[in-house]
Amino acid sequence: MSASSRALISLGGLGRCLAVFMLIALAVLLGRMAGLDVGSLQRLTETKGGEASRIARRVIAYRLDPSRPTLFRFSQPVTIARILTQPILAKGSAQPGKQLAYSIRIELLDERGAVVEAHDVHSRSLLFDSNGKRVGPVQFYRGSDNEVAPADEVRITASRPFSAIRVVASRSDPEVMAIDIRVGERRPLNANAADTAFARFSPEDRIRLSAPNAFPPEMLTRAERSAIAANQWRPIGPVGIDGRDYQMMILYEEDGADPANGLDEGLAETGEVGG
Amino acid sequence: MTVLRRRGLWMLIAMTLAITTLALLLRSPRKEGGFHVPDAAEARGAEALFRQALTSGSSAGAAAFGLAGGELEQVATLTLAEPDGSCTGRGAYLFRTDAGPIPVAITAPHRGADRLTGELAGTLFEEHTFAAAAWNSAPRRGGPECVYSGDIARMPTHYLTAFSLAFAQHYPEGRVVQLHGFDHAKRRSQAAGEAGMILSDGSRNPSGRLLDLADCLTKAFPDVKVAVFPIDSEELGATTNAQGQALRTAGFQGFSHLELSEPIRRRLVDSTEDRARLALCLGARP
Repeated sequence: MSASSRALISLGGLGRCLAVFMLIALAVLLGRMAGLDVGSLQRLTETKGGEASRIARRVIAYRLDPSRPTLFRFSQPVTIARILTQPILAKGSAQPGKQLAYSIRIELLDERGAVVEAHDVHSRSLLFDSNGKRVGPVQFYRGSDNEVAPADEVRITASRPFSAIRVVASRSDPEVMAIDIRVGERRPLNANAADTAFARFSPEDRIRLSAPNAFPPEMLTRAERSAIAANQWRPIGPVGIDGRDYQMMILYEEDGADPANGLDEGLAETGEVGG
Repeated sequence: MTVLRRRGLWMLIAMTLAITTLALLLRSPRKEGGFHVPDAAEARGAEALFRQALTSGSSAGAAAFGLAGGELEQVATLTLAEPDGSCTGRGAYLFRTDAGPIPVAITAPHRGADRLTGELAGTLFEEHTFAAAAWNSAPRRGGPECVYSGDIARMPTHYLTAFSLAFAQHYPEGRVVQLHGFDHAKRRSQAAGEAGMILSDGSRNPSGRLLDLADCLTKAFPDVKVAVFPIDSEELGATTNAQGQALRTAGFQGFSHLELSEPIRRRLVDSTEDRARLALCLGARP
């Protein structure tokens, strides 16, 4: 065995690292001579990559039972709640420009279950505009032909804290087969936890959530970062057992339009069992 | 045209030089250390052995592959594993031999490094009539219990890949499940950091079968965030998983890569009820 080959075999960790760095530098140099840069390599990789999924997000919704209320309990008493409702329409029943009316009744309950306030919320939903163009992103339930209309949002505020809400579907147009609901509460975070939560957002989420600010996320103050994190809506689930006390649905949304997810956490949501 | 050709030539030279030298410098010490990585011909032979085990419950010829046949006491099962005392990384394989097993293979390629996944795979196999199970026989990273090490989920010709392919051929509508573990603290995104389970079939376009599983798990574990790659989480997608790639190439749609957080793994190991809910989603009979 020659002295040079022995030297190569006996390369230690540092030697290997140096050799790797030298090789990378050489490859970069040769690559530049060939007119390649990192951007073009990335583009090459992207075009060779797999087909992107058409599904942009999946979220949990709950189907309201018209015969009895569905109960949602918050993690602590709140004075504001965010509610998204979506009417479910029979396939082919939505006509261009035709708005479909539906309504729900929401009761705000205190810790002892007494009604603090009650609201009747009336909504009109439009799936296709008068030109026949779909309003909002395509949303669907797997295995179902029914059409999901865009979500309507209502924020319920009260002067007195409430611990839970009781929701029941009221009158609807005949085309509305069911009403699905999502309920959100503000993330209960203190300043430290909020700042940590902001740090855990992905770079894309940080940019998206900081968009209303004049400065990019890395230039925000701690207070601004905490405020952004604390202002996220956390989805909550109903009290009870799926199939007995409520019906859980998994809503899919296709890519291509602005998210109509509403609640800020796009992945599967936490439900509350028992209570 | 000439400029383009010259650029292409430079690029080719640069890439060849870099790849060859890197491969020489960074070649895995495990081959020299005794971790067994079969070549393509041996892997094909192992695949035939596993097919035979699935079809007839026979271990004939296993010794030629460094595996010994055996049986479990409590469950009607054929085992193929390395003889006691050796841990050269060939893996351990279980095949249910009684009639009508559920066409699911529960595997844990990183048993040990992904804590509790091996225990969970074994318990699920024991409690439900899943057709097969498998896990690594040498650790992902070396340790005192076994000096050899390797990541079998990244080895295209490993016996686990041969086992997965044989299973897919025997049960084309079945499911090959890989159980893995992830650490919340090491995740980059909020979505992965908060998830309890991250599911993938190794592609960026999840199949309907994977979404069926995800929907079932979401309903079965309402207090757990069940994420699907790449819809809910851009991390832990198993796109480089060797078994997933081999199965997809073979046209098999039932590869399911389950990343479980540490609390979920602990919960599944501790709770029969939770294991039953997971098993039901995987296809177990109620």
